[in-house]
Amino acid sequence: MIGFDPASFRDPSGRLFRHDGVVYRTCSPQALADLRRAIDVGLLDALTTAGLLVPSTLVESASAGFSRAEVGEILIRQPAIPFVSYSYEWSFSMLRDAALVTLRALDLCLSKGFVLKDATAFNVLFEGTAPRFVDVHSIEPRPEGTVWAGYAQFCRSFLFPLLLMSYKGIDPRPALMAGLGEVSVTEVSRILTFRDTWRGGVLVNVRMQAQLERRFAGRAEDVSKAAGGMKYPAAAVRAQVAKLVALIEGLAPPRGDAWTSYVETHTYDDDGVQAKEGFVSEALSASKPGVVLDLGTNTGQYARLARSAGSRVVAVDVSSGCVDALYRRSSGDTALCPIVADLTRPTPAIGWRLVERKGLLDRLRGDFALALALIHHLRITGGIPLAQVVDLLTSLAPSGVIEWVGREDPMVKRLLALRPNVYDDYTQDSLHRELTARARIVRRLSLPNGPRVLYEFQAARVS
Amino acid sequence: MQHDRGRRAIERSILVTSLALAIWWVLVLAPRAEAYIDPSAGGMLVQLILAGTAGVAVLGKLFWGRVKGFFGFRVRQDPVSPLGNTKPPHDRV
Repeated sequence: MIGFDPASFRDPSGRLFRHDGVVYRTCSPQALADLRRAIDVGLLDALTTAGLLVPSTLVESASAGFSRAEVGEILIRQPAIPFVSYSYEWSFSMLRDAALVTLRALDLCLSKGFVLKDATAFNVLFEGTAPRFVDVHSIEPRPEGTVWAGYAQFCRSFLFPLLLMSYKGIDPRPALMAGLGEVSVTEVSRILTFRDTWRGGVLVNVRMQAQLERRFAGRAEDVSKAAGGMKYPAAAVRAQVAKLVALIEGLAPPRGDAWTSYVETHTYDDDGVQAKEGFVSEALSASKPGVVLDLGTNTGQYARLARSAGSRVVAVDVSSGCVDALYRRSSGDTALCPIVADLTRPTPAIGWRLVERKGLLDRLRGDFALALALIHHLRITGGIPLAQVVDLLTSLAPSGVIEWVGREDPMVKRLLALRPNVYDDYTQDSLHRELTARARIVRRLSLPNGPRVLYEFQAARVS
Repeated sequence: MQHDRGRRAIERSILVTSLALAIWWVLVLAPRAEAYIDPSAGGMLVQLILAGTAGVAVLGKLFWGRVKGFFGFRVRQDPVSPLGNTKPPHDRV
């Protein structure tokens, strides 16, 4: 019995399942015919060569070991992207690059008589820092003379959140989570001010679209009938795509936040940093983990250390600015996945029956976890009891390094300055106790010149 | 020669934009539709307007319906389900 991906039910062209690290997509007869045409005109090759599309090949289901009755005769095979993240976990530059990949793929499709029938951000996955279009079923022959049906969805999934970030400094992630990856034109139009109307892309894509939407929302049939006889040339769609590309490429990133300058302003000295790097390097080279989770990665100093030790890394941070800096600095690295998420309230599962898009804790698993300069933020800022913090960290990976940050640390003092002291469990003893209850402590190191201690742990069940 | 072509392109672009804005403002004066949400009508019309002549024709047709309605001819107003067609059916991983 094939376990189909619970998110793959909307498109009648085919469903998706994973098997042995490979993604398979079933094909309806129409989808298969369309795909064969796309292969014949060299479109799929062109998209793959340009690095836009994840490599996609047709296989006979029987030769791949599946029952024809269950999955049909022909399947599309794609390599699985190991860590899946969603647009509400992306920084500005990530969302921008995913938007550009979609537009460039669309332009290539148009040049060969095809089109992308939709434009949701779920069609793009990040292979490390490289965005790849994955939904081959979105590629179909363009019905002659039609406008781009995916335009409005492209705006809601990519353009509007980018405009909110760039022009208003507004974090669109809560809206994207609530709207299953989309922000409505009405909402964006209300947020943007009169002054914003004259900034790039707003008049046409937001104001005009919102206005027309409002006027004609109830007359979809009339619009469809009136536009039915029109012949809209492919060149006009391509010109429109070029304009969107220029608009999006020209958007300035939002300004950084307090975290982006953390490496320069953090509260320990060079000796401490060196000792810490040495400890982490040794732990990594001893256990050679396949996947490292760098939790609270900041600008990714230790994520890069793990990369140079040969591990794949998922680097998580609550600050969109930090993740953006790490993403830009690691451009082209297909084994470093930066994501924006808050461990004290991880990305929830959303969509139909809450199975359509998984929550972060159902996707985040590693062989080794780094929790450096993190637990004081989880305990004091986040209010999560230390036992719970340790429980989470040790459940995400069977081994790792946790940094204890004592109460005398300037950062901890700052966190406690305006709070009543209700953190009795925040002691090194209780960290030690909670950690030994769940894992074996392999090594320990007190960092020079400060109340910080590194613990390397290994879950008892593994060693 | 090159220069002329550039100027013509700019003039054409100004013309299309002004035309688009004019059409848009005409529509602003039209009465409001019911607040049913159909996600594609606005997006589709924006694209048609930007195409210039195609947009004029389509909006002319739509607007003509209004004019006829004003003079007492029957204008069809089919109910649209507020739940129906809120998203295109194609988005997926």
